[in-house]
Amino acid sequence: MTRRTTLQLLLLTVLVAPTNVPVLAHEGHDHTILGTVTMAATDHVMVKDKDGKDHTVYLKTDTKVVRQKQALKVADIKVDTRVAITAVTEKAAGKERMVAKSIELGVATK
Amino acid sequence: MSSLTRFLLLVMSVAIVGVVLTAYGLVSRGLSTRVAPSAVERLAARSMRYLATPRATRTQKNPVLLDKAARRTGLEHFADHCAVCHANDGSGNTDIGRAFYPPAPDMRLPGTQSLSDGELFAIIENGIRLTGMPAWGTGTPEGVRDSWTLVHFIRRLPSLGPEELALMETFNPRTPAQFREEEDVRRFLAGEDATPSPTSQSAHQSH
Repeated sequence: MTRRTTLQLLLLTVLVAPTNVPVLAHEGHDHTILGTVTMAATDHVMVKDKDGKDHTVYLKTDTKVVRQKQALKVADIKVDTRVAITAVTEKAAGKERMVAKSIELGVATK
Repeated sequence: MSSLTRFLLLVMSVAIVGVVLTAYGLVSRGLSTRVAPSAVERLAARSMRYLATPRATRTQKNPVLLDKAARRTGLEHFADHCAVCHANDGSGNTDIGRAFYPPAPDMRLPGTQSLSDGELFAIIENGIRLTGMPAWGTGTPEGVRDSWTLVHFIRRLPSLGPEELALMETFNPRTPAQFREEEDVRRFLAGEDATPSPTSQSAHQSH
């Protein structure tokens, strides 16, 4: 390694060293989950998709709940309602979980 | 060797070991944008943002009259060109916006809203070096007018309502795959039987 390369590496180290630790809260891609609500709580909903797979999606204060473009509240999410959830994966305390950006409500199945 | 000299040698040795270990970490792990920018990099980006604005433009007032047509034009333009990174609500909460280095800012907050009209205009026209913000200036009177119209719209971001956001979604660019996915979602929510398997799926949306 030449002296110049060493100096460049040292300069780069000083400039970006504080950024070398990964940020836990970096979100992934948006995911769309289509399914039927099996449980609705204030901080999360559980959804079963058509293949029978269960998904737990957490809610945040800025999670939007809509039906046909009309804004609703989290309390309007009822069991047995079809939903389309746009969610991202977040890491917290070493665990990944799905967090809803928006939940669009559809028809009730029962 | 005096005690002061020994102390300085010790401090230098620790510093050198620290730098070497950090350098080893950089080389072995590589540099990622999946981290928060350092203070130095934030300062560099903010400096570039400041330098994007020519002095004469900094205090310039918006020459475009804010009427109903300008409001609508700004909304459509933002939804069509800007929302893919900045999101319709200006939060920056999109796949691309979150992944920029530094990430796209929440334009509803004072960090953006406290900028002058001239600064916002210059950023749109000139872009910001060392960030993901491109220069949209075309050098034409129409382009200048469009940028000033966008400045009006950026001022409205903190107070956008659900109806306006819903309207913006109709102007967001879509790929054929996104069109199909939206149709799948619509049919599923309507309870129509002929829906494809509604399993969890990845969607690269712009909102």
